[in-house]
Amino acid sequence: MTSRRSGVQGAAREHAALRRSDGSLRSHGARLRWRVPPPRLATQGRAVSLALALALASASAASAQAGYTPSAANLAAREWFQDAKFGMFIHWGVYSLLQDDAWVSNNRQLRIPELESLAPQFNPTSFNAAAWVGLAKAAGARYITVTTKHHDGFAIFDTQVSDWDIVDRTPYRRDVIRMLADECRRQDIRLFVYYSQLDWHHPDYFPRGGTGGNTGRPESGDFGRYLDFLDAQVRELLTNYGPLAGIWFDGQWDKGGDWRLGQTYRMIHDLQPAALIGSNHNGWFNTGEDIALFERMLPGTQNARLDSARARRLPMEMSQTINGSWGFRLWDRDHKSTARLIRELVEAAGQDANFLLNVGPMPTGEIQPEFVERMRGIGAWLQRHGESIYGTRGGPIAPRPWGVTTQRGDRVYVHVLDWRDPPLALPALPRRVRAATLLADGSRVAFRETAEGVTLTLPPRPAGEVDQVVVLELAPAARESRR
Amino acid sequence: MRWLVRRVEARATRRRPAGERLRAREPRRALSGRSPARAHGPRVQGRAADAGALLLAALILATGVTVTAPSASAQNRYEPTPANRAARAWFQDARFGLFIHWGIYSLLQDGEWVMNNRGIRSGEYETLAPEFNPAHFDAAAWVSLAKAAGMRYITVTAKHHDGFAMFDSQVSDWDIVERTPYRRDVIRELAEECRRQGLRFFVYYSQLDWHHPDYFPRGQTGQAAGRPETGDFNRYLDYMDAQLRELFTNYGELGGVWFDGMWDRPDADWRLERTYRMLHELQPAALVGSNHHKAPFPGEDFQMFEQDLPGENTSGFNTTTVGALPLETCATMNDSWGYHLGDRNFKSTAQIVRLLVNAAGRNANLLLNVGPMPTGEIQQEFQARLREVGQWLARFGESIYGTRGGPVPPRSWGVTTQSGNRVYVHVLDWADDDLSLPPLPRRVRAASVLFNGAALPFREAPSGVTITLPPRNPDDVDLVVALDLVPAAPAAPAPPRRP
Repeated sequence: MTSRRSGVQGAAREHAALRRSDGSLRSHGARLRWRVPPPRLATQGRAVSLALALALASASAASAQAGYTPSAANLAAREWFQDAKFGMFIHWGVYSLLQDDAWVSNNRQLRIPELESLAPQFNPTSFNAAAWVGLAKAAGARYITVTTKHHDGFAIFDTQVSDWDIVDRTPYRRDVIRMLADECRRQDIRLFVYYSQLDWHHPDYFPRGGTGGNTGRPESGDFGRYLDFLDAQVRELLTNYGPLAGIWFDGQWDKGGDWRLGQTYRMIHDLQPAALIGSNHNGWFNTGEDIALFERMLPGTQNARLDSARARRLPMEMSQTINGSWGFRLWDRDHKSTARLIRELVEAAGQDANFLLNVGPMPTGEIQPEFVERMRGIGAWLQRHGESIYGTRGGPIAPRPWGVTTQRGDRVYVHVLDWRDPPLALPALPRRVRAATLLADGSRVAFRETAEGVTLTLPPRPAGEVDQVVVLELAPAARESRR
Repeated sequence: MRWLVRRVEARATRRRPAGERLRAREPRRALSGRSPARAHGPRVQGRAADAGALLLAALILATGVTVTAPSASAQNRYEPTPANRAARAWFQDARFGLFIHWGIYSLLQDGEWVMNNRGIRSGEYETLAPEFNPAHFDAAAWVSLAKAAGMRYITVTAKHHDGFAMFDSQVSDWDIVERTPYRRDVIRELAEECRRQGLRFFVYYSQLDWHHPDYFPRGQTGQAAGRPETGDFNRYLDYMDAQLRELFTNYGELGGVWFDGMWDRPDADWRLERTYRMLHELQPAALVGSNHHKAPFPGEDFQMFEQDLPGENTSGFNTTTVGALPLETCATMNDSWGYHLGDRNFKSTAQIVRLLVNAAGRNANLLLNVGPMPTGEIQQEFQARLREVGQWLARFGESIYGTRGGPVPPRSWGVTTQSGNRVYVHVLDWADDDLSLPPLPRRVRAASVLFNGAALPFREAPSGVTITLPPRNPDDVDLVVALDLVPAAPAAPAPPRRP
């Protein structure tokens, strides 16, 4: 996971982004071939962008998993994923000891032996998988995505292809990924594994990319051998930890070149056809990927370049930090309020995207109270408003300054986030409105329907309410209704 | 909101120039053009000092006359006891000590200033204590390492600026016994181990405190700790005195106390007289020194210089006023006092030996620092250097231990030390065969190489002494030439010599 970082690293990331826009990495995206049935579309505007995306994509040849056709189980998993809407991200590793975020070894330009000196100090005696999974449940999250190996290359699972892992190098000696996987099954929550393709530790990660250049590794290495290692670890993850919801790749942005994505993706889909593959490219993606990931940005809002309409063909997910750090950072108290986080969850849902909210546990294995409080706060909100989030898709009205809409079946949820006046005019909906009620208490909301649209008369808003949710019952689609 | 965190990060990751990185203990204000020193009494300018002045200084010491000057707050009429004078002589004989910076800040592996540098609030910083569980701490290993390095004493941070006591304080629960799962008083273990192994034990105590609410008004640091903007400084000083009393009461005989942090509030009334008097009453032989970067205040027993040799001020905050008290230079082995993962700017063993020699040639001790890891281990880079310095001292210690600054003040080629009739010429940087010294106080009877005793040719003339040096390798650390002077003329008629 990238992070705010010093000028040097920021420049490196900038450079990577430039290279991408210059074409070396973009070519992957440009060579997409669409085998995935298009997801259902809510608006005509989207249909237009889809047509554009198809036109762009059809001209290219696949560079990743050529000819990938998702299995029925995979398509079902995508539906599950979109229904789930909310996940808890976990960044945890030996870097947590320094309490300075996950990039600390790069930012402080630690050499390999210095980085390695952390492992014998990692003894998270307060780690409790049940507590972490319980927190995700209490937050209303439906899945957990956990860093199995971050950029420092350290595996917090028991890998057999390296001893740079938690079992072989730490006094803790326990495979926390196994404990989490088991606990997730027990508490009925699904597990994604985060895996960093970028590796600041492995000698064969060569030629180096924009980061990790000061570790003192030899200026040689066989990238193919590194990718063999990567494949072997990914195989372990997909073999030894039961059915996974999917794999969350990160770090490919570090450099161009041949990442052998096709081979890796095919292996994953062969091992677990229903496991969803996503890669943190912020909108560019490759054939064989099942979900599109956006780091700390809402798809379609911040950066047109990243607002890949193509990404909209896949289920989307926005990842976000509670403060400004992915890994634990002791002095980062820039915590977003619970209200703001709920708002971002709602906005993501309105953009048809999931919301993956991060916690960086402490080196002890505890999760700091500021995070716990916010997670539980979101959970309390979802207890009452979950109907307008879970199982929905982006609604018939594209995001507006006042808020967003979600939809499930004949119900459209109007999430009024930022509107002060009683009347709120919505554009025309695809079908007539039968009734409007407040989700909070079921009370009726007055509305007037005209050819131009629907005007709601909003009741007074309770102080501090993050999201006033109005439920619109649409007239059933004519052909499908049974009388 | 974003800006705040970015600013913190930018500050944290900025590359500091080498000169600045050395100033680990001192904030930037030292460079602000403030007058570097205030006169607090008679003083000897180190660079200008000639042999006579040094002898005068030695005479002053030997006769126990101390530098006293009016000061509103220090121990005005302090008269060191004979035991204190003996301790000063012991201290000067010792010449080499181990400085240890260790605390809960070590967990973050980013130096001992991390709380201040990262703007960590008190509540956040307190979360470190339950994580401090140094399973590999072994007092015997630390003290043995100091012994192996040829050190004669240890100075350890009993409380650093973060206010966290590494000893079992009864006047606060902000200490290792009450707040950490380790629950052991490491100061006690180190004090006892030093006694066992015959080293003397000094406690470092930070007068500056980033944690105590009564450290108010705040000074130039520790302002981001989130403490209330009120407090009673005298109550803080009572607390400090109580902790010092504990240290001076519960840990046996101490070599002394090494104060630090007064520079944070240079104009405050620190009630030095009261504190110093209490300490001298509790343990008259314990030496009091303070790293205030000024000429010594009355009541102090030695003068210290941070990251500089006496009289030098490369660090930008040291006084160039060298007083008549025993002197000590403290220095880091890399650029950090507290453990700092990624600081690999290590001095070489040769550099350390030369630092020790240069200190001795300026009549000063060297207090060389290690910052142990949060596990309690001392990193290999430090251990290796310490052991190598110890090996050098095992062969050349005669020219260091028990000496005083020699008759020739520091020169570009090196320094001299002296013990009795023996002058040690430390040739650090001289490539030619002949080396000329200025006239010595007495005639030279013999010159020899200390390493193997080989006699060296020398010529004495009214203008000085010229020694013909043996061949050297360019990477020799220190060629030590012993000059045996004719004994001083006896004050009384000499007794009949043996037949």
